[in-house]
Amino acid sequence: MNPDRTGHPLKILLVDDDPAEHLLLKRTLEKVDGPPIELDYVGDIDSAVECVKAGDIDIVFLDNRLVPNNDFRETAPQLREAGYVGPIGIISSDISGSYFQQFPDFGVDFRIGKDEIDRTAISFIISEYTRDQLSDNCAEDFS
Amino acid sequence: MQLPAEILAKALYDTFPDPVLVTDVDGIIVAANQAAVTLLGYAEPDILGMEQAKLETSAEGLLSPGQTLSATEKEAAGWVRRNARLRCKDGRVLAVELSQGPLSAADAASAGTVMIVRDLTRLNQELKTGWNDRNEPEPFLRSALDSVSHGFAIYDPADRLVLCNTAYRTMHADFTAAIELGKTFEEILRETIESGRYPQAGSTPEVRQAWILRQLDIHNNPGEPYVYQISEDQWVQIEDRVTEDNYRVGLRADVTDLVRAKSEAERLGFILEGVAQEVYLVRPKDRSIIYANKAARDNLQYSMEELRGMDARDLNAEYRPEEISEKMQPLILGKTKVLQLDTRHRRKDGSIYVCRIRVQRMENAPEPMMLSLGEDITERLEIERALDRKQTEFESLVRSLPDLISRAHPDTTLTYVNENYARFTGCKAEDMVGRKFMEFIPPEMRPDVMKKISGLTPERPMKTLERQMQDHAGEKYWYSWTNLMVFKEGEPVELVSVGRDVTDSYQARERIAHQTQELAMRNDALEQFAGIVSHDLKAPLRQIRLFADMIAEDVGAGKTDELEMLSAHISDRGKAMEQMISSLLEYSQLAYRTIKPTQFNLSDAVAEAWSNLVVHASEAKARLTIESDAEINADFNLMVQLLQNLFANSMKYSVVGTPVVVRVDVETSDTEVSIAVADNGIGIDPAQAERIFGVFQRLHRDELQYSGSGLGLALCRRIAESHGGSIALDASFQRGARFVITLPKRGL
Repeated sequence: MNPDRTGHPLKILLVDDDPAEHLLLKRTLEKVDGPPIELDYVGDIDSAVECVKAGDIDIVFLDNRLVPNNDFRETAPQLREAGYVGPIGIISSDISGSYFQQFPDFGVDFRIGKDEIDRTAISFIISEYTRDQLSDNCAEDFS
Repeated sequence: MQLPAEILAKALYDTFPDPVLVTDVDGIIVAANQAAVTLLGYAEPDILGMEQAKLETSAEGLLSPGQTLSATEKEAAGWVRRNARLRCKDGRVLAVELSQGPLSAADAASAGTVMIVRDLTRLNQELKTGWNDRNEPEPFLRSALDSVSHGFAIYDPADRLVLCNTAYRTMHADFTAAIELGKTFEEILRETIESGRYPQAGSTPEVRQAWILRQLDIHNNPGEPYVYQISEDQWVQIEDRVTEDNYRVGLRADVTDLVRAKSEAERLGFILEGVAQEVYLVRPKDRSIIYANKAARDNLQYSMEELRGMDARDLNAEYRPEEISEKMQPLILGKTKVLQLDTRHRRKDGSIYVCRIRVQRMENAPEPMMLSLGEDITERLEIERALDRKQTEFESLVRSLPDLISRAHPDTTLTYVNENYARFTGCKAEDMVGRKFMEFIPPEMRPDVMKKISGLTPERPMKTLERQMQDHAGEKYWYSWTNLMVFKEGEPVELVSVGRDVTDSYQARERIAHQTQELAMRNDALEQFAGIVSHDLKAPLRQIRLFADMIAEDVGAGKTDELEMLSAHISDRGKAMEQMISSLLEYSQLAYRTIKPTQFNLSDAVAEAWSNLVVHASEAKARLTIESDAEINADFNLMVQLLQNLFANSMKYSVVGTPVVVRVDVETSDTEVSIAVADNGIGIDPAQAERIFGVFQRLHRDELQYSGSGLGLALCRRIAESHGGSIALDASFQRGARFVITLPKRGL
């Protein structure tokens, strides 16, 4: 999972029904320092499920409102049910709704407003959710 | 031959049957005849020279020659007779009667006393046995005396008991042992007292002696008969008389019953005098007052002397005497036993008071008597009048109250209804009484009302509920009913119900509730609006800013290949925002406006809506069919907008290549109008049946194929709800989409 150790670029999956968001995130990731990052994009949850089933997805950025679903509470569990165990982050133009506080209950690891997404935030998320959770010694044993 | 006087005296002395003793002037016995020797048992030499005082056992009564005798002890001139006790030689003590006389002599030295002794003990025995021994009528007399209940005793002139019967002994139980014939009255007293059988006489000799002297005085000088209590529950009337020949006759009558009756009569008299009620006894013959108790005398201000004999009718200030006689006639004739009469009595000072009298004829009295019980009811009448006034005021108040008031048994059987309640039901109050008030409640509401009433407990005896009621004319009202169950010792005894017309209040509350609901809807819409502004408008703005930043970056870096694409994104985002803002403006103008309902045919609104979309309809080759029509009460413009939005959706979400067909059907019931708008388009997933009515909720992101703001159906719902109706997707319809609008038939 660590790009330094495996040699593969970090793969992020953006799930958003607005293609413009793909373009915007792609330009933001280009500015992020560090190892290479690969961005995949799908416009609906069904495609996202297929994508995570195919594997190699390190992080999922999931738009809160994917037509015709109401919000992440209907979509995030579908990714978990597909066997995806990596980090899922909910992105939305507005994350002030009280229901966002329930995100851990629906298999979501973090939430972030779309206006907060910049290279600093992306770097922090990558370092926080993609580094090995074990110590260096242990990680060597399992490498 | 004539015997010398001495010889004759000596012969008489020797042969005299009674003992004779002669003493000298010093009281020394100087002579005793044979009878004396025989009686006393002394030999003549022994008795001669003996002091008379030593012969008698007690000095009491000892007569010395110089002693003064009382008048009663004097008998003949110079002779006295007294009782004494002589001691015989063998120690016996004899009760004797001594007749003493002076013995005169020529010389003083030979003077002395001669005593003739009479043995009373023997006399008593003779008296006791004499009647039996002699075949005379006395036994019959004695038996007859014993059979009478009165005590009877006779004392002779010497106060010796010569006759007494059993009743006499019984009535003097403490003295019975001492009562013997021959004993004097004094001896009987003394013997009894000395024996201790009559401690009441006193505890000291002085007191006892005084008591004896008192009794002797009464015995010797009898006065009027008197009643003496001889035991705790027995009274005897004592009557002593002295006959001409100086015999004392004692008569004893047991008057216990008489004393008791007298006591009871006295007690009854005290009670009659003490009772607060006025009591009169009137003789019916002449209507004269025989008795009036203290309460009557005090109130009338007359004394008993003044009232006694007064014509009872003169006390009456209400009726003339003949009128009273007429009223009393049934009582006097025995046609009725009791007569009650409210009348007025006149006092001595002329003042008058109201009284209630109850007259009863006393048949068991020795002579016919009228018992009249009177009660001054002046205060009572004032209280009753005050109560009547209160009652009248209360009834007047209850009548004037607009509330419906009833009283009923716990099983709801009415015992009282006020006029308003009767007027409401269209019945007479007296016709409602006796019926259960459940009969006046609509059948569908009875179980609920009964449940509420049966739920009343001593701890929570009162409950209030609101329910709709219909008067006799069919008008409907809302009433707030307060039911109070009165309990006595835990058991329900009465149900008091008060119903207040709260129709205005209820309608006001309904209006407020409706307005509150409307306000909540508007608040909700405003909240959504704020959410849309913060989310749906913020998103394109952010994108525009980022695309602009990217253009700046590219221009700064000399890159120009993506500028067209980036500027196109900015343009798209800008257009989307324009459409969104326009839609919001339209939504806010329609959704929050106050409706102005009018009566119109639905077909008119349908035609207007279709006409507004004629260009789109032409492009989609759309066709409208409407088979039925109905008159509805709604805001015409809003209904046109609602139908127009539905028609627009039908044209927008059509199956490519298929002409659009829109069908409108109308159904009416008693309470509502149902308008169904169906098309043959692509249809809507039933799972989205509710979500599609949300603001900016779109099922299709592809603006190229299905453009729209996502406000159309939200606006349709607002319009339907503002009319008190609803709109819903018919999830069962599968050949396209079908929406059903339901409106109340009467509108608002």
